[in-house]
Amino acid sequence: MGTPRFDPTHSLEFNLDRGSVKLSGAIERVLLPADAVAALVRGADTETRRDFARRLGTEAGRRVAERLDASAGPEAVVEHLGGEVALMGMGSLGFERWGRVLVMTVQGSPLRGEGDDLLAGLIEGALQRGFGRTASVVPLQRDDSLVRLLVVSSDAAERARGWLGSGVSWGDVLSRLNGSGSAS
Amino acid sequence: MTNGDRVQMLEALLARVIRNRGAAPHHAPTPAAPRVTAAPVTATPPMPFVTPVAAAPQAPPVETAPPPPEAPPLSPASWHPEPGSAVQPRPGTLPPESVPSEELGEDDLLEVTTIPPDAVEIDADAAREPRLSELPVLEPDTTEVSEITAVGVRISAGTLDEALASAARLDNDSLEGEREVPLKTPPPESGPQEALPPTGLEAARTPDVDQLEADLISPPSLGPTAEQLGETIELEAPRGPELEIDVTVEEPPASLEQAPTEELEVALPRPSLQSGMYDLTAPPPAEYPAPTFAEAPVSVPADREMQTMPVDVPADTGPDRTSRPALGATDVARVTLGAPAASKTFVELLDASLLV
Repeated sequence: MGTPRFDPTHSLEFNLDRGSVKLSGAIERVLLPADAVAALVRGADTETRRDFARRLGTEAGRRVAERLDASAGPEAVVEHLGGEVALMGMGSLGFERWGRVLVMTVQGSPLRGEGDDLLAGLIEGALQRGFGRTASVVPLQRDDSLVRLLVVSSDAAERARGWLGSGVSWGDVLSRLNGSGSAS
Repeated sequence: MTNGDRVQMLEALLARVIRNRGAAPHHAPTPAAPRVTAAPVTATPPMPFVTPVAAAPQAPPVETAPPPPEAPPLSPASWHPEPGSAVQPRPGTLPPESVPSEELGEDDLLEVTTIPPDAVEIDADAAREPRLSELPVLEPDTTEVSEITAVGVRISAGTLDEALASAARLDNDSLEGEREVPLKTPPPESGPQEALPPTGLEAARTPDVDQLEADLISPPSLGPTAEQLGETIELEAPRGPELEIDVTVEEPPASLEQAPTEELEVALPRPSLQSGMYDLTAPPPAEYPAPTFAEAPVSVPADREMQTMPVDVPADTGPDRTSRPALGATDVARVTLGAPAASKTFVELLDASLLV
C-alpha cells in the first residue's frame, strides 16, 4: 500500500460572506496575530499551555492518522504531520535521528522561543492521537529560526531537563541518552 | 855562567829569602789561626787577573825592597786582611831602621810583597836553612822559575814548560769563573748576546716527540725490542697495502654545447575558467608551430635482393596443437542487487526512541 502524498489543495476555505475560515475536515479556524498568541501563551500557566498545545496536536494527529497507517515511514509522517503544522502556521516540521533518539525540528515558528513549549505539546498530542504513543517532547536546542525537540520517554525527558538545566550541551545530552539506552 | 855560579847565586838568593823570612814572625798569625800546610798556589785564586802593579810597583826596585826582619809587628787595627782575597795591599809601615839596606842587582829584581799572616804559613821544616845538597840541580836546557809574587812564594813549577802549563790552567780556570751573564743590560749597539742557560735552575725538558710517536704508532711487538738485542736493529716489513698511485691524465670532457634555452610560455587560464581547464581558443606558442606533414621525410625501404632458398618440408609432419574446447554460449557474469535495507517505520523509530 502506497503512502499518499500530502495534498493541501482546498484545505483552507475562506467564506467571506460568513466571515469564517474553515480547514477541510475540521472545525472553523481563527486567524490571530502570532504575537498575540505568544502573549496569551506566555501569560497562561503550564497546564493551560500544555492543554492548549495538546489540543492542537490531537487534531493534527487525527488528520494524519486518517491518511497514514502504522507502516508509514518517517518521511511520510513528516510530510503529513508537517503539512498539518504548516497549515496551522506554526512552522516547518523536520525529523532527525541521533542514534536511537528522535528529534523533531521546527523551522520558522512565528512564536519563536516563546512558542517552543507550545510546539512540544503539539507534537506530543499528535503522536498520542495519530500513533497511539505517549511521548515526552523536550525543547533541546534553539537558534534564531530552528528549534530541536527531543522525543523520548517521560523518564528520559526528566533526565534531559536536568542535564540541560545543569549546563550540559544538547549534544552531550544526546550522547548520554544514547549511552544510557545502550547500557540498559 | 857556569853551574857553579848559578849555585852561588841561588844560595845567595836563598839566604836572602831566609833573611827576609826573619821578619815573618812579625806577621805571624794568631795562635788561633789555622795552619795551612798546603801550597798556597792551590789556595789562592788565579793570578793573571790580579794586577800586581797596583799591589807592588815594579819600579823603582829600591822602593819595593822587602821589609827588614826586625820590623815591628803590625797591629791588627792598622792592617786588616781582606777575607777571601789573596791580593793584599802592602801595609803602609816602613821597615825598621835596624835592617840594613841591601843593594840588589838586576838579577835580583824580584817582586817581593808581604803576604797576609793567615794566607800562607810555612812549615817549620821550610823555615830551616836549606842545604846546598838539597837544592835542585838545574839542567842546562831547563830553566827553573822561581817566582815570588804578591800572593806569596810561588815555587811550583820545576821547569819553564810546567810553569807555562800551570799558567794556562790558571787562565782557563779564571776564564771559567768569570764567564757570567752580565748583570748590566748591554747597549743595543753591542749586537746579539749569547743566551747562556741558567745555572741555578734546571732547564725545561722537551719531550722526545719522535720517541712518543714511535711508541704510539708501533704495534705491540711480542719479540724483543731493538734495545734488547743490542746493536741489532731489524726493520719491520712494511705494513698495509702497497700504495699505488695511478697517474692518469684526465682529459677534459668534450665541450658541451649548451642547448639553447627554451622559453616555455604557457598562457595562464583566465579567471573566468574553472581550475584545470584549458583555453582551447588560445593559440599555441610560437616555438612549436604546427607540424607540416608534407615536409616530413618519407621513410622508403631500400630495395633488397631477394633470393629463394628451396626447403623440403614434409607435408605430413606438422606441430601437434591443442586447442581449448569450445564452451558455447553461456552467461558468464551475473549481477545481483543487494537487498535493500529494511526501512523502519516511524512507529518503530518512535518506539526505539521511547525506550531510551
